[in-house]
Amino acid sequence: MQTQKTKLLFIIAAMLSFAVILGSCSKDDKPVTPPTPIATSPLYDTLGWFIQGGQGAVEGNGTKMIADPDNSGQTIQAGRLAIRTVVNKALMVIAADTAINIYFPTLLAEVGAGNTTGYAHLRETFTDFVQQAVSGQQIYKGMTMKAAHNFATYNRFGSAAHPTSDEADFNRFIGDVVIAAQSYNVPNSVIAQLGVLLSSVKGDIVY
Amino acid sequence: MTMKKKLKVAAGSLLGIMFLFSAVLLIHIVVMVKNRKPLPAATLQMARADFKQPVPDQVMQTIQQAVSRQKGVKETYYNAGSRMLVYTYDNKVNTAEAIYASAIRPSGMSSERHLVSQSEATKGCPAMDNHSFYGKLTNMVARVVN
Repeated sequence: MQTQKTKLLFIIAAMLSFAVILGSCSKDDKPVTPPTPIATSPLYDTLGWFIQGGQGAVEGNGTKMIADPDNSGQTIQAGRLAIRTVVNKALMVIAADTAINIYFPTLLAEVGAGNTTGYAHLRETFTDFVQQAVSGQQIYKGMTMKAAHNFATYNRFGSAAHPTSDEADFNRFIGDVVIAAQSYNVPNSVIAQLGVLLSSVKGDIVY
Repeated sequence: MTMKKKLKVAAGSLLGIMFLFSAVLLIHIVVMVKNRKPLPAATLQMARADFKQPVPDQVMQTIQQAVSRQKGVKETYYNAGSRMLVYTYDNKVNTAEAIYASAIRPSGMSSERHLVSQSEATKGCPAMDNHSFYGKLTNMVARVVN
């Protein structure tokens, strides 16, 4: 009788221990790591707010996910969409600008020949670069600005006759981006902030 | 070494080199396309028309409206200084030639559609041309690895 009681106590103790061990493994007790917030900035929020029609509060609109008009069924950060819209237009302005379209002969040749992949890729990397500069999100995985703007290190930029760009070219480029942004009625205060950000890489692009 | 044996060695070396080059090309393509997401508006194409004389604002406005009405056209931009009209369109829906013929040539303003020369066309990356052998190979590898 005594032996049976001891056995029963042993079983109950074992079950309790097992329950405690299982409980300690439960997901609820795991320390919850809060998701890393996506980097943003007042300028990025303003751009996201602007592309959505400029209604209501500005804060949080940069990283807000909205439907991507160029990618059916996909969403995109509103701030990125605003930047990509300006980038798309800026590339058109540059294509019609004889002062600097000489630096994109390969791209324009591909586009003219009906081969659009390089064009789509440039739109994406240019957008990534500006988005990183504006929002602080580390998404740009392209070449360094210095390497990307020298025919000697990147043969899709310039030509043997025009291997590098100078300060006048850079200022012209900034002017073309401004024309693109103005065509969407982006406020001058926002354009000025974008201009300052883009000018920060001037030293790497001007030879 | 006999001539026959020399030829055998040469042929073997040539085949070996060809195999190595093919393998390097395939590995390069795999590295480039692995986890590649489809680009938004990947079929968006840019085209240009060059006007031979200054175009009055109102006439250009009419031309741009006509271009914008064409199927697949997304945006237009005119640089009065360079007299270049740039338009973007979806190349799955329309062609630069058709847009030019329907909306720009009838304007009566002397212009020509910008065409790249044969030598310019060869400057691009062959792997980016979807119609070339390398382009087709790249797309095939992308489908396999993604």
